[in-house]
Amino acid sequence: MSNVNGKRFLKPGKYLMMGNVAMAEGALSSGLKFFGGYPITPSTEVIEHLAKRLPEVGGCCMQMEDELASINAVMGASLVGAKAMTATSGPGLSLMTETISMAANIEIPFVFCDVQRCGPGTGFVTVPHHNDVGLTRFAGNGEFEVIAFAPMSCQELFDLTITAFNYAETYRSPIFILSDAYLGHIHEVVNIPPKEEILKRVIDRTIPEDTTGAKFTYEDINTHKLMIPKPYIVGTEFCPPLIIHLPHNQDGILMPEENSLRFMKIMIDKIRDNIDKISLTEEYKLDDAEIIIISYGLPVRASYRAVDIARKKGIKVGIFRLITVWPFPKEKVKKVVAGAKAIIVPEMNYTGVIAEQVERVTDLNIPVIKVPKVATLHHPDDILRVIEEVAK
Amino acid sequence: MSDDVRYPSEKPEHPYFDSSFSGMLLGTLVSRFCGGCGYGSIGQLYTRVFEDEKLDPKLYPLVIGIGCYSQIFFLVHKNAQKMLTLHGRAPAIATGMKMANPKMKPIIFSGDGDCLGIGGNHFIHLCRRNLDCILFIFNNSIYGMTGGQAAPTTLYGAMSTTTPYKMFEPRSDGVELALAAGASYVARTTVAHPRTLMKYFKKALKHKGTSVIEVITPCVTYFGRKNLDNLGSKGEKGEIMDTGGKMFEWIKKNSIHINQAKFMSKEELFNKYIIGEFRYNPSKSEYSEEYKKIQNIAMKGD
Amino acid sequence: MKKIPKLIINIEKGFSLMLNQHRCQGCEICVSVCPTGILEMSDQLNMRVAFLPKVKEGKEKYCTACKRCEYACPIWAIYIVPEIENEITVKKEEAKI
Repeated sequence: MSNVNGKRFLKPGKYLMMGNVAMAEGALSSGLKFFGGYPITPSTEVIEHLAKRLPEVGGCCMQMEDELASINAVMGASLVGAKAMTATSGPGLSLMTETISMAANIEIPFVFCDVQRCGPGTGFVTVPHHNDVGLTRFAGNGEFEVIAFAPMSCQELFDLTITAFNYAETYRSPIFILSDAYLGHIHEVVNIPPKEEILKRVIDRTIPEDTTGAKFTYEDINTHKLMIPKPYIVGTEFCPPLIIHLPHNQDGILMPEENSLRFMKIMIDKIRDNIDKISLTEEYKLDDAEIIIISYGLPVRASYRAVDIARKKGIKVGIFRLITVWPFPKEKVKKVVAGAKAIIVPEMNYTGVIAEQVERVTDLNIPVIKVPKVATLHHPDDILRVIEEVAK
Repeated sequence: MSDDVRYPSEKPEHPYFDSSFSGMLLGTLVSRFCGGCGYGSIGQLYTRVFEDEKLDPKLYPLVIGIGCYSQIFFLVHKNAQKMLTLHGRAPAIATGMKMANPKMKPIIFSGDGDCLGIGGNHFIHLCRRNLDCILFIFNNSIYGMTGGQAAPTTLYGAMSTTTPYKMFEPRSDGVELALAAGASYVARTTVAHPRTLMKYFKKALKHKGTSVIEVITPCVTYFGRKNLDNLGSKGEKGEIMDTGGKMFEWIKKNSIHINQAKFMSKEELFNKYIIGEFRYNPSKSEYSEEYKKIQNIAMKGD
Repeated sequence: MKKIPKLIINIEKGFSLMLNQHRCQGCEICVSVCPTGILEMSDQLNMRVAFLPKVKEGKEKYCTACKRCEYACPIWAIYIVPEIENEITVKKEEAKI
């Protein structure tokens, strides 16, 4: 990949890019300064690409001794004010959960890319299987909320990474990008916008003027709304006197045990109150649809084809696509699902993590049909067969 | 809060009371350590060096692992930027901090279980990379916070809650591990030699590279009260070390300076602590400077 | 704020050894660390029901203010304080320790 003498932004235009590389470039465009990682198929290309590109922007790409050290180095870098990120796969994520839980407590912004691979245990390493979707929701001990993106193309891998870094800066909770083995390795055309356009979207890490303000999320006394301040930076005045991952108040001083419920409320509600701003969804031919396909990630691409064919046959079917899988937009899905004849949820896992979430909000007489696929992609005919069955 | 009846902070106070975090936060000195524990004095020595050397708190963040010493943030300097991290992961977090902000020099407080037990892998690679930081290993040869279990450094034949039939495993030696891994400044001292501890700390502040300082500290509650003081020496009749003073005597009896240890045989050095400076190699290349060269090459373009 | 009892008042060298009575935990570290061995445990109890250290009979003048007890005390209870303003006025200029 030729780059204009190592600048943070690539020359605007169309590039044929691998998924993992597109995500790495998206991170660079949003000001990535530190990457800690460990080689693991299928996410090794991220660290290989950044090992060459990060030093060019004055950043640091470190291959650590194991995944535990990688996520902790990322947290150390983010503590010190550098935009940081790590990329791993299923087994790496399960090693990193303790640190994610700590980062959620002390509200450290970082972006975590999980290039999912098949099966529990080692599994088939080069085939996709959206089995970590459940794990990312509860990625660590304790209760906290996460935000998880599910891109479905290399272009989205580039754009959603910039949104992910912005969410990390504003909501300061763990941010996941749920890519997978195929999406990370396919080469697609990615349209890189000009520098000015990207810079308009990027939120930078800066400390506020009055450094005596709150350092952690707190509840405003009169408006009872949760205020999320800008992330603190160790090594500047805007830093709490003590960073301790126990329930704390807005300045980082310990809270007595009986206030732990209030601390949990702050940790969870800071995402749930902003769910309208956070959750990104997409609709396709949904206005007069009786059968609704709800899905995320790669299966959506096959669903487009299936919907077009079914529409020609006169079946009213549409797609409601989740771009941010977590937090699950309960209210929005409830509105979409009301009055539907049937719901079809094609997912690349057998248990149907999101299918169960959809069942939670649909009333009982509307059938929710799972279309599971593991290690192989959905073919449009698989989904088309289910649509025709339901339409009878 | 300063005239709190429970612990009246009478005047005149300790010369470094005003610069301690607990002095500023609570108005009185709260030390949550057991009577006779060595961490209280280590906190004081850190505050002394921090105050005397006028360290810039922005450049010397304090990364504290998990263990009894985690409560030391009450006693360390009030301006120091202190953070508690996960058990064993402090060296990895310090690596991330140093590489993201190369002007910093993190100071890591770690314990013998924290550094040689769960965090062994991060400790080895921290020394291998020779990252510019100071790593303290507080060796009280027991897991104190969780109630006195055996640690990788527990002496042979010692009693603990998980070795009711006396410790039989060979113990791991933090200094040998650091030397083998490649740390550029390695030293060991004890709390009973507070001045040398401050001297090593000041020398480590000026040293470019990983400085590993192991500090032998007594743990009266879970190690001293459960063991006799003839642990290090065979044949003598021992008595229970149930106060700080007795443990200090045992530490002084059991620590042998490195120059004297050269003339002693393996049997004589069994269960003994060798104190002194093991390696001081300022010329070894420091990790972040090496990476700076790579950044300069990369930033010049293709 | 009541005055702390002083273990040693040394006017020539201008320092005094203080013991913060109710903070002391009675751990005997200062007794063991003192190089001239002038401290010993007394049978006086404080609010923490711990025995307090005291200076041996007639050994006050051997204290050289080396501050080893101050360094080693885990609860920062025993410390050297320069003897400037006190009931007993010091005729020399301020003593620098």
